[in-house]
Amino acid sequence: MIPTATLPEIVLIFIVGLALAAALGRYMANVYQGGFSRWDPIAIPIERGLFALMGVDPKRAMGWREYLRGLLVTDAIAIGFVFLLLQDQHSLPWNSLNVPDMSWHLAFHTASAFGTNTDYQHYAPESQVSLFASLFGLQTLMFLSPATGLCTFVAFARGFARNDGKVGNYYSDLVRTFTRILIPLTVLGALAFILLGVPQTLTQAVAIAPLPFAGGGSEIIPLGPVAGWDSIEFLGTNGGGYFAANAAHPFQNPSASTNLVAILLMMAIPFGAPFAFARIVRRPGEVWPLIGTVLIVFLIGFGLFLFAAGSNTYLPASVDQGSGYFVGAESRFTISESALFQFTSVYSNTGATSMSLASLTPIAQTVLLFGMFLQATPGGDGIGFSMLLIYVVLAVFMGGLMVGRSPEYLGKKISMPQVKWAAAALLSHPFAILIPVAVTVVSGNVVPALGGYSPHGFTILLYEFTSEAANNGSGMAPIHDGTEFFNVVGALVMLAGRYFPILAMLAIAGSLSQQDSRPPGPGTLKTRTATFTVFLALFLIIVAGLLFLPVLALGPFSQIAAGG
Amino acid sequence: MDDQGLRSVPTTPPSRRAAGSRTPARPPVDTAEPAWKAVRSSVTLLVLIVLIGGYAYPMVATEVAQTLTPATAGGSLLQSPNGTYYGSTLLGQNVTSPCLFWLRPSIIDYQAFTGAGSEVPYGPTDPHLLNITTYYAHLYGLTNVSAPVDLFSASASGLDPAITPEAAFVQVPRVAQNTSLTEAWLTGFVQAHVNAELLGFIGPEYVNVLELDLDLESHLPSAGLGGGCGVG
Repeated sequence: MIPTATLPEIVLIFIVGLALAAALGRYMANVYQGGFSRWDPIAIPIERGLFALMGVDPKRAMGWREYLRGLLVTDAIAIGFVFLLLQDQHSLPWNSLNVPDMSWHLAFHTASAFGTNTDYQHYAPESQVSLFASLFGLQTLMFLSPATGLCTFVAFARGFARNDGKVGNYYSDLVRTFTRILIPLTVLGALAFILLGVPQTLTQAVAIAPLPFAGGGSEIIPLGPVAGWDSIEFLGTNGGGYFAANAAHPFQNPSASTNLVAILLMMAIPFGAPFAFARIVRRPGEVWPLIGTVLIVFLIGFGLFLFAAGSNTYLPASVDQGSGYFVGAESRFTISESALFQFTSVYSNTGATSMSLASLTPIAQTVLLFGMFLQATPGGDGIGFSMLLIYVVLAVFMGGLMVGRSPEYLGKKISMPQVKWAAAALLSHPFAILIPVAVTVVSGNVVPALGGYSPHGFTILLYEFTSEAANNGSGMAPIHDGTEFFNVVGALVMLAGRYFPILAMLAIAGSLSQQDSRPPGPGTLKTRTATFTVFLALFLIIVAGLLFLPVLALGPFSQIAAGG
Repeated sequence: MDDQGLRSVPTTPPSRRAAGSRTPARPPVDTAEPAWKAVRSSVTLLVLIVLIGGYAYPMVATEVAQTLTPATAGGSLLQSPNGTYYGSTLLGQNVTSPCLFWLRPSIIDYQAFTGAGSEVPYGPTDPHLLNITTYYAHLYGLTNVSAPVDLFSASASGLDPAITPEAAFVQVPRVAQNTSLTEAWLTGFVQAHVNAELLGFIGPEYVNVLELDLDLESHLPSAGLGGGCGVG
């Protein structure tokens, strides 16, 4: 049952989110093209100083290998720094709760998770991360990882726009992403969360005496700079919670209004990216097939998800589900609001949770898994849209062969080098998911982690590695995954799921930027059409379906078939 | 990687950066910086992000929050007259007194500090879900009426302070039975505590049970925070 009374609100919020994202996309294109902005009088002198400190000439464009090297060196140093920080947090300041050091494997998993924009948490933040490690370590990575994604995106876009063999200057792109996109927007978001009642304090916890008429309750309430964290968590499509309960926690998401702000922040950059792309390649009309494809998949998925999450037919009729199926959902949001948050979070690869994913119906779980199989509708900041371009490269190539047109996209010929890299990026995803799932099953790690074998347990296991490979970060309880095995394998899956596609994207960008742009001929495949839009959407769905249907059959589909 | 970069370029010998950088008419020349310079640039960049994103941003946000919204910035804490804290309006507590309204079951028994494992651990078709729903229907004495699912099921956070208005109304007969208050009065009382939709369309109607119970306590014969149940 779809709760129809709340649909107008959902539609309105989605339209507002899209409009804001389109405006942001235009702004982002301006930032990356070095256009004028009202920030310039302040920003330019600061940036000039920063570039001097860094020893970077921001005007010097790099080839794709040098761009990739800068990106990898920066991320490696950052992840290494946080890896060490988390293992030494006990003796560092701002640790009034006496949080112990993390084990090496948990620190490895956590640093990789935040560095790769995954933010999968194998720990409870309340009791396992100090305020110091939280801000200097994790929050730093929450700014860096969306910026890394956006740099990949803009370099990829420039591959279509340039013909000098260069893809731009990594350090210039990263600094401008940070100072002109992430910082202004997170400050706005943080201000909104503060005004709407989200805590923001340096107090780490307050001791309380629970109400005398309460049979149980907290003796310690953990607190912290939650509003600021929230803002970059959602805008950066990070998704790591300040608290274990993440966006379901009343401090992180106290009301329906904060829930809506979070949705808008999660939509902003992923839905803005196609608009930015079309401007960077100087063909504004090309945004329509791209955003159209994303919308087709997103809206069909959301409709299914809302339908499947709204009620649970396994419960007896005496239990009233008139307001919705509230098991594992919070009562201060309507089911539609919870569902829009949860769906947007997973489809934008944010991975924050405002519902318990394990208690969702199998169809709803399948819909969420499908979004992580695709990674591109709209996907995480920068990377999601870059994944869509990977699909476009393959779809143009295949579509061109099917109708006998020469496969070109935006004036660049799509041939063997691009298709090889694109296929490799696409196929790396099932490898990163299915191999670890298989290894876990055959290595005897299922029983300790899940208590036994069941279709529901298999879904949980599949969800864990899918979420890590897609750099999503949402998780399904209960899985005992804080072990050395899950930490090490999970970290490797996240790193592979992040950096191999980035390598492929930059390699394609590099090869495209060496080509001269050619004017469209009579034999050119036309991409600015409704036909191509539908073709691309079907291409996404069919490819992901072919790759992952067998494994879905073992998990959620068996659950439906078994009815238990 | 640096060497590969140079090798891949099929053009004139690599010129120095100063000469090659700003002349787009030239054929592509890969003028990659040496690796040590990339490390230096990256480290400087990271120091900057740590200082701004990890330090300056949360500090400024905290200052702003403590000035604009001191109460909610501190966690919306509830303070008794003698100065001790007894909770937060945003966090539920496990109310057990029969003369007060109850909240939803919690996987973590409303312990905010454990946090971990608050998520509902069973699937939608798990017999456990049915069992636990039936268990709470019995516990709450609500087996003969149709009651909303939220009253019998755990939230995602385990700390949800709210229930649907229906879940509060369905408890009115029990509260009336255990106190000297009438059902009609209690129904009106709950009605007055229903949080309306924001702007008429955002959010559900819900009741913050903690606030409801604190207010109800003051209407019971032995009023005050230490009072508990009134006349049975």
